[in-house]
Amino acid sequence: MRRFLLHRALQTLTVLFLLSLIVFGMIRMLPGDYLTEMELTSAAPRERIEEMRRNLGLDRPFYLQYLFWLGSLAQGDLGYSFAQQRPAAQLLGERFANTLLLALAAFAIVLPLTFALGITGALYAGRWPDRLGLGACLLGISFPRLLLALLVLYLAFQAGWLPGSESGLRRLILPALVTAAPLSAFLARQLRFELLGSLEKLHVQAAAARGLPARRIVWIALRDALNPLISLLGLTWAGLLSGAVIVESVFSWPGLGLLMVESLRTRDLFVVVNGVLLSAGAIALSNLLADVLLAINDPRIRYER
Amino acid sequence: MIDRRQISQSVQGALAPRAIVVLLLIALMAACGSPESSQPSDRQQAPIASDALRIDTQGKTGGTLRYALGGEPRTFNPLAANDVRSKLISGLFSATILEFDPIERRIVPGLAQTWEVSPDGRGIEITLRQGLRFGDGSPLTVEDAVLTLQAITGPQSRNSVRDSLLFPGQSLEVEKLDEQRLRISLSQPDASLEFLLTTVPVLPRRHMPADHSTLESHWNLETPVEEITGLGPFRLAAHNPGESTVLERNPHYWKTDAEGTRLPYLDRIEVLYVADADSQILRLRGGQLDLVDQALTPENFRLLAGDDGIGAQNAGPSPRLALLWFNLNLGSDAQGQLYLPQPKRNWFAEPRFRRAVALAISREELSRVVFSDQATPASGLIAAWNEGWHRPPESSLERDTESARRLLAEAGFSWRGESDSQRLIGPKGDPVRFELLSSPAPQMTAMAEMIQQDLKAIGIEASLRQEEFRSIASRVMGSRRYDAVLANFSFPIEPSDLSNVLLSSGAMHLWNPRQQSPASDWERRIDQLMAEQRSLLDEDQRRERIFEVQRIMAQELPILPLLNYDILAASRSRLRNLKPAPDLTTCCLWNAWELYLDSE
Repeated sequence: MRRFLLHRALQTLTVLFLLSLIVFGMIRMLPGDYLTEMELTSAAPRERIEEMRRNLGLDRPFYLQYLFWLGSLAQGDLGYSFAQQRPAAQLLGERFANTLLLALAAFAIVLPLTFALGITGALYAGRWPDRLGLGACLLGISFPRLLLALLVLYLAFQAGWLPGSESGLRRLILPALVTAAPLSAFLARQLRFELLGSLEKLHVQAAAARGLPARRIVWIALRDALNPLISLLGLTWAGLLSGAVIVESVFSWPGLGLLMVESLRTRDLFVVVNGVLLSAGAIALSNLLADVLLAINDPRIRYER
Repeated sequence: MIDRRQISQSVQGALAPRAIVVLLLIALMAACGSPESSQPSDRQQAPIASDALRIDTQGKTGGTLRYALGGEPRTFNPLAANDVRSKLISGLFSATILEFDPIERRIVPGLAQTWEVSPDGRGIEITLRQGLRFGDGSPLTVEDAVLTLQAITGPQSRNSVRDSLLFPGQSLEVEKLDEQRLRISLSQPDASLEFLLTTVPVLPRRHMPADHSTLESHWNLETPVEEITGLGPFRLAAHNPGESTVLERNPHYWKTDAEGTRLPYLDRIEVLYVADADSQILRLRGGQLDLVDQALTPENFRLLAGDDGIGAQNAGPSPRLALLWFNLNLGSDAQGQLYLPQPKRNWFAEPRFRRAVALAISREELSRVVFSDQATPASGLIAAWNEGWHRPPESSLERDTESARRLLAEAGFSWRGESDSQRLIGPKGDPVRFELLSSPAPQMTAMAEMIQQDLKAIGIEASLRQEEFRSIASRVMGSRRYDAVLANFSFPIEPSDLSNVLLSSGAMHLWNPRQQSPASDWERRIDQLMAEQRSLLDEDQRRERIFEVQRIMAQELPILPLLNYDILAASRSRLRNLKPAPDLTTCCLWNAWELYLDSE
């Protein structure tokens, strides 16, 4: 396992390095930079804008600017947000914390809902609870996220349940619900399908024939069905950590997604590059965690090379 | 062999109902949190300044106004504020020496009780109100105003106010005359000086950095709100990054209403950052917001117009203009390549071609279809609402394809093909086609497509190319390789502030920016007129020059004005004294001091 973890760490670092190079290059290749808008719309003399460009390092060739950023990164400095005139690390930290909070809240809904719907569907396969669950899942998967968010917001205000403008956990409820709904729907369908397969396996039938308690039988079948679900949960968690632009935008949740869109629009170079790396790092870590969980759940899985 | 159904049945009774209820309860509990209680406002009263400004208004005190912006500001520093959101927020807690009333369209007293421009236009003497205090309670002194002006205009300073005040060749000195008066002296007369002073916020001198070049980096979003203070009607109370900014009433504000009650009426303004426009509307309908303006689309405006408890107002055209221009860069790049190859170069340089295109486009249809009639056909850079400075064009730009065809024929163009699929042919025999560059925003796309259809009616084939704003800006100023652009810009109220657009050396001289010397006689004439008007103190003489500039622009049509976006606002009916102004920055909050909340 140690060798596997080391291997994955090296793999992740390589991916992050290549990714930073690509994102950095792409932003520099796009026409215009952070100061272009100011150059066109303000009365600032050209010399002043060129001076600002020099100060921000935007006049340097791509490779020099990249190496400079890499050097700073090695010293723990993620650079500066041009737009907000503050360290990019601070800005990304704030937003990532919010994204993490939303992801945790959404996951806290996703997990029980997935298991409730998935297990019910498998145990009552073909009967009304299953059909009801499948219908709900289909709706959850196919309903456009933006429409769902607006609908939930509308229903919340009709019910007089719209959270106030104050900060706090209460603001999390609606965005977490909307984030969780389609994910739960998708995962519950997967779990139902896997569980149906497991229930037909010989060792589960043998357990039932031996008269094991029902709870034990379901647990045996569930463990069998969990492997693909763990991989999917890992991917889901990783996706949540990249930020959810629509949900953040509708529910005014200051997460990473909105920041990335705004920063890309304004060409806030260091925020975009570090933000992408942060998301990519979180995805890599989530996948690693999923692999470890797989090994714990299923002793047959060994990551030896 | 035991089948799946039997296993399922055997466990259902024992396990499923209980477990499922538990799991659903867990999900429900995860979705619940505890509501937070809101803090009651603390309404402090400090002695009203002897020179307080009495405003002819009345209302009720108290309450919190909830307002939405599409995103958070970039800074809290009024001197570094270049974007609309930063200007709006900083404008709520800072105050300027003079103020501009956007409804009456005149300069009114601000921190200055009186002011007098010297007869030669090279100076202004300002008498500040006495007994004024910043939001933190510290007194305003003449030194604060002098040091602010010195910091803004110092050689090390980097801010937009300085750029407007100090045009090339202009220099400025500020001196304290006594404990109440200061004088600003200029090296050259500037007719727009009074207006420019409506953009100069006075900051406390103790917050002024010794190195003026760092002035802009002060008071960013990280700065603790208690360190940020000003003379505006509100003061910062809290900033929740990405979520909201809370402003509370400034207990030392220097304006009172007709009955002598200290303004502002409102206790607090909560500015929520809601990126999605539809979400803003839902929140307004749900009572979570009291006012929506900047994000209000024409469709949502129409939807809200019939709502009970919500007032929707169209305050007429704003300075935001949708316009089209052709590439008139006649030069070549460092490699000797023409910015615009033939035959387009000749087509676009022909004023009759530009006028024909203008006459082929139906502004009324654009307004009706794309903006649900919530936009106004435009006639020039200076909108009709800017009454003092607007001059209606001599010839109408209403759609007239016959006149357009006649102009094109006069300029040597011809047509080929059947009437339904006629193609316009240039004087040298090339079919007339060009690329129209615009942003991918839905409104711009819809406008571009309608223009494409309109131009087809006179035989012009316009293909669409969509790029985001920075990319377009980079083409316009950098590579200069494009045919025509459809874009939106907001133009200032004060004509001198149009210098960046109108002067041939201006960066925003869109059709051919930053010229070393004027490329044409009419551009030379505009340069001359703009320089003259700036130094003329006689308003009529100044107006003559501005009218002449507009006449030349309407004749040459280097830019084709299409539509002025209307100022739209929707508010809960309990919000009173709302006077939406044709100013996109402050729109509905320019008179935040007199807004109040009544019962619904």
